[in-house]
Amino acid sequence: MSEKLSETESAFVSLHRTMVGQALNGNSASLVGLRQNAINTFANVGLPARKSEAWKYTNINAVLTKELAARLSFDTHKVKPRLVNESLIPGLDSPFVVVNNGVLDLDSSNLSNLPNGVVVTTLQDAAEKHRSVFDSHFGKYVNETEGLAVLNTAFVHGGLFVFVPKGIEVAETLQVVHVVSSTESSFIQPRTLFVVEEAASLSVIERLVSATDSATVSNRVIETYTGKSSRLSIIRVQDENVDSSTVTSLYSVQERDSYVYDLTLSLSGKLIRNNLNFRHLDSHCETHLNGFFIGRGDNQIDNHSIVDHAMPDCYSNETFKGVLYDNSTGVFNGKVLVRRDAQRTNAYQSNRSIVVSDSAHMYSKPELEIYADDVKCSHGATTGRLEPESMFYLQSRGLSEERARALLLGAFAREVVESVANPVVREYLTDELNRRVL
Amino acid sequence: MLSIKNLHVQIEGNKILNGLDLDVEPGMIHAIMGPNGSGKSTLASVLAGREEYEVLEGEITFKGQDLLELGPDERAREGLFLAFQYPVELPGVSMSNFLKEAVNSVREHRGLPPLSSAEFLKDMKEKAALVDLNPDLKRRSVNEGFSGGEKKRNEIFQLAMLDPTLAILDETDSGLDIDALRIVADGVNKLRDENRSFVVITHYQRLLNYIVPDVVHVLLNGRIVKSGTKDLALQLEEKGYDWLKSEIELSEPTTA
Repeated sequence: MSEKLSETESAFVSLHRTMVGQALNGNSASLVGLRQNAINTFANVGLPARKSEAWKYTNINAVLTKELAARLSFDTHKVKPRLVNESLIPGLDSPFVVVNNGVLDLDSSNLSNLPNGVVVTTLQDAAEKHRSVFDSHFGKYVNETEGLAVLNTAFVHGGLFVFVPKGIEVAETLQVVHVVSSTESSFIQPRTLFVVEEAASLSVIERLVSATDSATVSNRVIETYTGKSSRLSIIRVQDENVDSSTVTSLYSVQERDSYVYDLTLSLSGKLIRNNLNFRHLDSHCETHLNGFFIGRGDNQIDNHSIVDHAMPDCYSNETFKGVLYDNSTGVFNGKVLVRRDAQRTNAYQSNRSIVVSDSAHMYSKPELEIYADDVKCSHGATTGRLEPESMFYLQSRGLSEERARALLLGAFAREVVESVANPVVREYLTDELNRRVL
Repeated sequence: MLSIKNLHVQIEGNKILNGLDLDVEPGMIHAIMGPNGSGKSTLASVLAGREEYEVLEGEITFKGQDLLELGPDERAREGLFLAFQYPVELPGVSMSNFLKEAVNSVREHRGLPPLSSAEFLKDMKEKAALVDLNPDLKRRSVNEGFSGGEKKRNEIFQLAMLDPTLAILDETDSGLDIDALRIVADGVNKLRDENRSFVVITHYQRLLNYIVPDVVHVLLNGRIVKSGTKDLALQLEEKGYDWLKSEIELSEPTTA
């Protein structure tokens, strides 16, 4: 073990030693081995330092303290059915699962409408009962140099495993309600693996909610595998209480002719950090990644994305937008990497933010790295206030300043959710954004 | 209805209006003509309440109220309407949402109940027909993807929906071909009545063949230098503005 570890890092390493064989149980040898390797890697890479360019604006050590490390817990408090119901989309009437502090709670879930063959279970269970799928994908897409992701693997427990075997198209949207149920300040590490095999499809909407007012920190990792000619759509609605922080590290890989749609809506939380990684394993992949964030009070939303075009004839389109109020801070760092072999890549990126208050800040950093010569790439980033001429036009028709702003911000936000395919989900999110953006 | 006295206005340190006087009575159409830079659009902007224009001196009363005390939204609710020279595109803001809110805010101010969806749609259909606009526009975003002519017709359509007592048309004819001009003018003519006044700001006499004014004013260097009947517009069309300029120079006191 390195002597350079910080107190927080050391706390995690010793906690791991204590928990192995106790709280970190499970019969799967592969899971046990993965956890051990991960804690060893963590001891080398550590937590992200603010010195690193990727964490320039976000000091994770300010929220993830030594005290909090000691509160890493798998304990759950019973989730009230009412909270679950409120978190589901009215009228969607589709299968749903509840994940409580990172642990799948099947008793609170309803999976009756899922097609036969689709597996929804815990990662521990998957490691035993669906071993070949688990071993082929779990932990395979995480970037081993990212300390937080590795830390998540080191303590993996419970979690959520969703497997759609070859040829199965899941027509209904799977709703995942991630409840943080801790009654006091704590640290949780939810982990999800989505595997969509060849010629299959899956749509998921995840909602992150807090059951209490406790300040919690979540270190979430999601791995997704989208097989040949398959489709995966994931929407995440981040809506925890205003004192809670969430880091989500998403690792998405795609096979030939596959389609991935990803939407992150950051509505509430103290610090929200999204590390969104998209990689193409083969040619003719299509990737859409979108995001909308609302900053209020002192909160901070930090979106980092990497679209790694390693293969030829792929397409990616990225749109992130946000509205910042009060003293909030927004960060967008979007990297599009087009490797030498990725000829005929089409990659588009746009980041537009509206800063409503004088003391809010937006840092936007698009990065295009292109090593192939036959590509079409574009990016654009704008940050500004609402157009005075647009405001004046609406006011000159009798709308108050407040209503004029509401109409313009609503329209600004709506554009992002217009890309949602399911009309019920789209309408629900449109209404929600209209309401929340004001 | 509208009374402007000795109005002096500047923008970004440039003095544009220099003691403008104008009185518009109910039911009258006043045309304001003038060369580029004479202050026509500044007048429209000040009346509608654009913030960046600074009134240095003078007063404007509208239906007995101090207009300069009111914000642009309050002016609209009081019954003042500006048809924009360059209508603004508002992507994502649907025509029907926007107009319904506008109409109901004006109605509320007048003590009228809000229109039901059915009433509103019926009204929209009728008023759209006045300027030959496709009623399907309710689904479209405000002015987005509208042709130049559609944008101007949309302004007159909004005018009809909001039922103002004073409408200011700021170069509504600019960029219109003769057919579109006729449609816009027909729409305006159908909206004429004894309680509604118009201030028609234009560079060219052409529009005034279709919207026949009661009074024509010539604006030069930020002041109204000549007023007359519709014949004055024809005279300007024939002779240009230069003859007026020299006439004024002769009558101005020389500063030595």
